[in-house]
Amino acid sequence: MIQLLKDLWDRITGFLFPQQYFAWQSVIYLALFSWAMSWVARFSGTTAFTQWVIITGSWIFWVIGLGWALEANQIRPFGIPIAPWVSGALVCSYLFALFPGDHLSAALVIWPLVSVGLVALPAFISWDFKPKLPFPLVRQQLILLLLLALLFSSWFQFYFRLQTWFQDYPTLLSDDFGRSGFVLKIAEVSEGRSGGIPLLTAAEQQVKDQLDNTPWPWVERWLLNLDGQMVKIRNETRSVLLDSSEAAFWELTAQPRSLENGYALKLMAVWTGPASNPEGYFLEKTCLIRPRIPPVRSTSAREENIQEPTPTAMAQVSCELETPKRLGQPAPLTG
Amino acid sequence: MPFELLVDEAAVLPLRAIAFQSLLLLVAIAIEAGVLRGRLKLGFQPSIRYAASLNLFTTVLGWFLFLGLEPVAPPLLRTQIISYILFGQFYNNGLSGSLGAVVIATGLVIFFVTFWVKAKGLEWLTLEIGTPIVDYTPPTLTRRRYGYTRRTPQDPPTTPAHTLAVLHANAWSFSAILLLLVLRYGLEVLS
Repeated sequence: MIQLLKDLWDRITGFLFPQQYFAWQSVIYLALFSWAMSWVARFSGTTAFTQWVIITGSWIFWVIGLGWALEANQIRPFGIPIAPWVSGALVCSYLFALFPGDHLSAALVIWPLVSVGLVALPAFISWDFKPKLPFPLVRQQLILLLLLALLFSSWFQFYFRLQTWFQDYPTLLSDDFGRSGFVLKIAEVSEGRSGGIPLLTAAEQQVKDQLDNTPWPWVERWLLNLDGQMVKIRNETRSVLLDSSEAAFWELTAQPRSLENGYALKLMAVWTGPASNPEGYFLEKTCLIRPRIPPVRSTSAREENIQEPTPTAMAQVSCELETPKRLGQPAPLTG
Repeated sequence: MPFELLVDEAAVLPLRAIAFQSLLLLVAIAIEAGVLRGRLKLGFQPSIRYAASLNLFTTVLGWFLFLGLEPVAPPLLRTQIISYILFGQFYNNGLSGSLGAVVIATGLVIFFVTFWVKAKGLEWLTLEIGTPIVDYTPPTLTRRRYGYTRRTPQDPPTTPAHTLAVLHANAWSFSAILLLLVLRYGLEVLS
């Protein structure tokens, strides 16, 4: 038991305090020391430049120390030497933390290149900082590594390009990418991103503004001239998608249908852009327009009013909240 | 912040592109290495290294061209590219009638451009690592004057061996990739 504890103790001290000074532990201690010193500097109120110098030193020691430690301990998951990648990531996060703002895309894109640069640096510069030409085989391997890094960088760029597309055309995100040979959706995105929903809401507001609480004959005349009215509504609702590139892909149409009591007006936002269904799809919102007889004031007055003309019915518009997605194109109007 | 990004924005990842590209690259490198080894009498390792370098180089070149040209493409073409990448098909717009011809023409152009790039790349690569595959001693001009009739048997053939080898390698790897793509498309149609 004692022997076991002694072995363990030896191993721990051997890990923490190496035999010679030229070891990765020394560099890690330097990193920790300058990191602690940067806090001392901060609390003792030195200038920003002093703090920057100390912190930069700490970062440099971290990069060297971690890379050295990973390499010296032969930490190679799946046989891949990860030391340059970790060091490259540290360098990138240091470089892009210097500037304020969101640099995640730039940092990820240059990360593979920085890592290859770190690998290539010792091959091209000797210990006394003189340039040298590596052996042909090393050169060939560095070329391969550089090409691989460029490929990884391209993949990152492609990922960010996809995000640009989804910012330009948010409706695309609500579609299904099952047939794509390039992308995979790893989480379901709510349909709420579709640009058709605000468009339909704006159209609903227009219809309500024009028809709600208007005399019933006016409603019927309005519906007869639906095509002309839709031109107006389209113009009014254009501002909803004004700052979006996908405005050109949405087409607003409407179809009336008479019920036994009033009309049902189907407002449809037709997506004419890229879609998983070859026929495209559309979102629809159904509005019910019903006549409503204004309430008569008293029952006793009713008897006297029989001879008088009945009060004109007023229209009442109510729209459904859902905007179900239908595949294909809207059926042509029959009748 | 990266985690938040992963949940919200990054719900769509180009994982299939990465998987397919890795697979196609491996197939192409294996085939081309075999052809280069057989035709140029190279060793196992050099031919694999050359084939890997050439194919990675053309792939990276292709990515750069795509990433550089996509934002400046005309909107009609750009949305068709988006449609193909996201949904595996083109959609109906003013261009859809002529897209088939465009795709075939692009494929042919890509074949010949990659062939040329690979042939030049092989010359440069072998020169760079110190085992040039073509010797750069300038040909003596006097011999050309006499034309074909006076050509001695030692004369180099009009097409260098490495160019022919790269042409064959490129043809084989493109055929294999085309076959794989057709198979994938066929499997998708069946399922």
